[in-house]
Amino acid sequence: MDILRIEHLTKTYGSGDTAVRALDDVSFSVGAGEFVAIIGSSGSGKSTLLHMIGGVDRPTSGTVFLNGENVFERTDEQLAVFRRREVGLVYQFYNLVPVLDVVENMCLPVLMDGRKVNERRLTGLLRTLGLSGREHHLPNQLSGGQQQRVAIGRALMNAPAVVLADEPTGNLDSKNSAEIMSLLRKSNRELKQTLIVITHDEDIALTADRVIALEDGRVASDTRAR
Amino acid sequence: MINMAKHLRDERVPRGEKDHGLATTASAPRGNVFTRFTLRSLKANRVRTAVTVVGVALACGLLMAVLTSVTSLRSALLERQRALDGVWQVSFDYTDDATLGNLRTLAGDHLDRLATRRDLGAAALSADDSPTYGTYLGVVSTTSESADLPRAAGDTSYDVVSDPAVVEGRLPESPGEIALPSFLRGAELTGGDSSIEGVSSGATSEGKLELGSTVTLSLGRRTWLDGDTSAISSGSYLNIDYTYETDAEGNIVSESETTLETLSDVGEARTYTVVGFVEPSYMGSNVAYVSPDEPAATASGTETSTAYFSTTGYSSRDELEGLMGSLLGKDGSWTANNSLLTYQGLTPDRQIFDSLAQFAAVLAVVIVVAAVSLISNAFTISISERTRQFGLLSSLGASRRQLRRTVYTEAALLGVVGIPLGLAIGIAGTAAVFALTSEGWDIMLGEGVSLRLVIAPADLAVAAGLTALTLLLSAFVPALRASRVSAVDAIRQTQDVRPNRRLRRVFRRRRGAMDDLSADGTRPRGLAAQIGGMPAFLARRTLAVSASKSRVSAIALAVSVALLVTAGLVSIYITCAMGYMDYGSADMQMYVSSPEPSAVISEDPVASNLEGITSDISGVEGVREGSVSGVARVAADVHVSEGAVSWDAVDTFNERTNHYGGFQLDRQGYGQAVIQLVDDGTWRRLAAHLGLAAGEQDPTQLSCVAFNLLNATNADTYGSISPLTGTAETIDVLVPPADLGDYEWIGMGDDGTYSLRSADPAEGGGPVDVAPVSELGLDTVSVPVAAYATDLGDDFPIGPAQLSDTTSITLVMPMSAAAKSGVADASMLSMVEFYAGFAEGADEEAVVTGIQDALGERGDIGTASINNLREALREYRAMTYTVNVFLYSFIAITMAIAVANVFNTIASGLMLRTREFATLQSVGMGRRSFRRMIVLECADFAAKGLVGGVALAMAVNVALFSALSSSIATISLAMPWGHIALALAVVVAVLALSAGYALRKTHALSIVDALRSEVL
Repeated sequence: MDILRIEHLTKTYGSGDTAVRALDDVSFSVGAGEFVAIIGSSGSGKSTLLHMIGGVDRPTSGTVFLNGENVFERTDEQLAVFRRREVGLVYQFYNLVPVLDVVENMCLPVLMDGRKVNERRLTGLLRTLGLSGREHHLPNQLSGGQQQRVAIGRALMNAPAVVLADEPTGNLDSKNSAEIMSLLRKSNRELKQTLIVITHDEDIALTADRVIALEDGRVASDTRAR
Repeated sequence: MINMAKHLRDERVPRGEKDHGLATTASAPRGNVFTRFTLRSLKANRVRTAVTVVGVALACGLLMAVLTSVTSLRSALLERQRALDGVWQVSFDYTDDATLGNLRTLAGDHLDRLATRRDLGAAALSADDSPTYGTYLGVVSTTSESADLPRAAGDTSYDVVSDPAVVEGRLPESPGEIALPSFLRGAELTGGDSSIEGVSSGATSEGKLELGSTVTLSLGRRTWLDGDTSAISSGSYLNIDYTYETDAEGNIVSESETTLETLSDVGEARTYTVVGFVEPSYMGSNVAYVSPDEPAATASGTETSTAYFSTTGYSSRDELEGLMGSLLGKDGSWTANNSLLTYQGLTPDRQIFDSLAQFAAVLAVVIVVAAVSLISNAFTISISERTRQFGLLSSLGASRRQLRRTVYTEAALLGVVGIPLGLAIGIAGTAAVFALTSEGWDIMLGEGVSLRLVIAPADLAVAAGLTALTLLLSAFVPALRASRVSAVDAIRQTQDVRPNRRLRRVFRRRRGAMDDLSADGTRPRGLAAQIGGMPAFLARRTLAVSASKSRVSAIALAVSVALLVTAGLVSIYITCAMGYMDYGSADMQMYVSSPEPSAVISEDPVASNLEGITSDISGVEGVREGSVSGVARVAADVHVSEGAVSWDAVDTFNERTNHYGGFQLDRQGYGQAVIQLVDDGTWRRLAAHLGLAAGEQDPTQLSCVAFNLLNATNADTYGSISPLTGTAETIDVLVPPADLGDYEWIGMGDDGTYSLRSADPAEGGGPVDVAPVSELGLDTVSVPVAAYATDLGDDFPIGPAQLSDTTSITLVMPMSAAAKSGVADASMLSMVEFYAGFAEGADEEAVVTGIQDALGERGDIGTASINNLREALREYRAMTYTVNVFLYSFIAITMAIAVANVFNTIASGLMLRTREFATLQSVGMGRRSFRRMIVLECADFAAKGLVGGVALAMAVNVALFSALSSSIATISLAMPWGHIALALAVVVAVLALSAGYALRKTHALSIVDALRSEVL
């Protein structure tokens, strides 16, 4: 069953002569539990696409259906609720809240929603992410790899419909990169977590179930592994 | 900034950075890559740059304004001193003209002006005259100035020594002429023995002294009886030795006076023509003036002279001391014009600067602190915003020195624009304030001296230098930080949040993962989250982490709030003090004394003629019709029926105040009353105002009005009471016993009963109660009370504030009836006053003179002093206004600096967190929650500033109140609610503005851009 359906998604920045079409009539679907890698050169529209799916940006035209619901029929306030319940975002530059410690950062979407934090899930994630013993550290007391693991924890904490990662390893060395990717894959396999990862790294792309290549805002190829 | 940017684009050829230091970057956009980098970042942050430049300019301007004000004031005070006393710096007495020659030789070119005055001697007044006019009349010459000196100090519009002020006529110009002290006008000097043993009177006149009459004087030298040969200035007070003995309790039991001087070398009597009358001057009050050419008048012809001189080129009083030491010897006596030397800056003990310079110094410190905090705040933010840039530059090979220089360049650029702007603002502002307040200054300075703007190069230098130093100091720490940014750190993270100690301690206590959460796991731990949810939690956490950063700004905010509120207080208290000048509608107040005063009205020529004097004053041209009142104030013993007294009110009064033993009324209704006996016209107007029946309006019918308001204010409570209650009936005035002994009186007894009291020294000791008044069987006069009133109308000359400031019952009665009924005889006269108003457009001075003449013509009046209340009020208002203008100008600018500071801190603090905000939104924080978080953060800041500021102001308030309450009776502890509200409004407005600006800027970037923003 498709958890995510994207139909004729178009995003234009600017207007007139200077208009840039970042996404041009993109359509595809993602099944539940799928691990999709999106590749493409700089400016091919990868991040734009991810932000549309994540509900942080609105398209010029087209629709995104998550769990059968049109994401952009929501108001800004509803979109905020959508972001904290339905998606988990992981960025290249971690984007942790600097004044909150590890646990607080991870629980942010749950707390924002006013729901109860699932202790078993939290401690499980901390253990899985190798953050046990670092629960009460602030982001600047952590290494880059650790910070990214916190960001992943934050994305997974709510068990969202889909986790979106924008070059999650772009800022990390190869050892940390491998670790992060294995964590993401683990969540994909063990928790059946739907995962969409933007990457430059061919090796990472090759481990995905499916690779979508973007070129000038269009889907150039959509390949399923094996 | 736009201009600079244009130049930047034109700048094609990059230059080496080697010879482009701070000095050259200031003047041109031709700078190296770092300068251009700085210029660009200043331009990119246009608003903050503008705010910072404005802050620098305001700080510099305020400094300049304070310095210029002080310099101008000092110059005006110097001018005033010159006008008052002349330009002389040193004076000394000499008998030999050779001393003057020595002075010229010793001082050389320094001697600028020199004048001499001869002391011709003193004439003894007769023993009959001396009690009124003094023992001696000294005669000195007016001064004559040497014309052959440089006179180069630019002060020739003033005399070396000021001549005394002429009241009538002129100063003497040729021998035989004399100007007498004004108190001798109309006096008749008689012959006979003088009060000095063995000396007969040497001052006689033919008839009363007036212009053109002659006075005959025999002048001698005043000499010490003990053989001391030093000269006694002829105009000085009589030297006596006063001794007294006291008993064990400190009462004086005997006293004696011994005169220490006599008059010798008395010359022949000479006759002088009176050409003028002068006011007393610092030479003494008993001094007459003759011309410098007057021949010597003592028998031997010897006389003492005084030299007064001024110098140029000396830089301290010490040099003058050295000069006088070599001229007169170590023990030589001389006088320095210390006030003048102080204003000239020559004395080290600058008394005047105790107030003036201290005031300026305090202001300057406040300004510098505010400015340093503002500017360094702006820098810190500017630098931390560019941490990544610095890291990048450093990674590209920029040396630490180059990075530091970038910051200093920024400082220099801000200074180059801000300082000249500030100097201009300061001068223009001061000029404007001076122009606005010139009337007040003219009054305060007097002597026809005006406050003129003096722009001293030294002030320019100090203001500019201090601002530059402030900039440099403010740039120092950020510069150091900029140069220490490591390339890796800078690129890794835009923000540098280090857990502070408090936060570390909190986290250290937390063990398990769930420790960060509330017990039910739905909230973060802590009170903030419990009360205000996530927005409150996040706001609280941010504030906790950034507490030290925002503290400076919170303090700056608090200080300016305190300044604003204190300004409110000061103006309230000034108004309170002004409220004391409350004389109803009267424009003039006249104290008229009798030539033979008596406590019994019928025996006092003024009090018994209230009607006649009132009508004489009414007849003077320029006096408003129906505005004249005569009031004789008497004290009388009265009895009020017990039921007519509100005892609760009296108790309240006694609890609150304890002036002179509380309310002067005992529980049986016996006590004291102050009775204002008024002329017929005033009574009729009062009766009409109160709407009394026709019979009661008749001033010949015995009646009274009780003024039923008593000020009951103390340090804690403000208020008044009404001692009388019920319907007005009668009050009995007690006729005091005729056989009252010398040491007996009627007053409030120790047991609270109004009694006959006695303190006979023969019985040794304090007062004792002899018998309650009720048991004395005194005769009474029953006076019908027409009305109780708390408002006597605008036509009543004495205002309620004055009337209510008493401890007795206050009654107003028509004099005509009181004199007939015997009430007048039962009371003790204390004072007679008249009040009058000016007719519209009347020449006030002419009216005052007219009244003086009219009173003089009566012939039955001793002295009359007329206060022009309207003038006094005008002057008071002008001065209050002047003080207020200065106060508010200062507050306004300080406020502006604080506002700029807060704006920079808040706006930049928020803008730095752009990414954090985007993150919060991307993980699902809604707009509403986000706004709540920001509002809470700002509210915390506002609360700190307001609470701190108001608390600070209240401390000042208490101090001010306790200082003023002793001197101003009507003052009450006030809260300047208006100013507190204004402060609240300003604080809220600036926070809203800053947050709004910052959020608009951050919103301009979409979440997407914000998340990616590298601030590069």
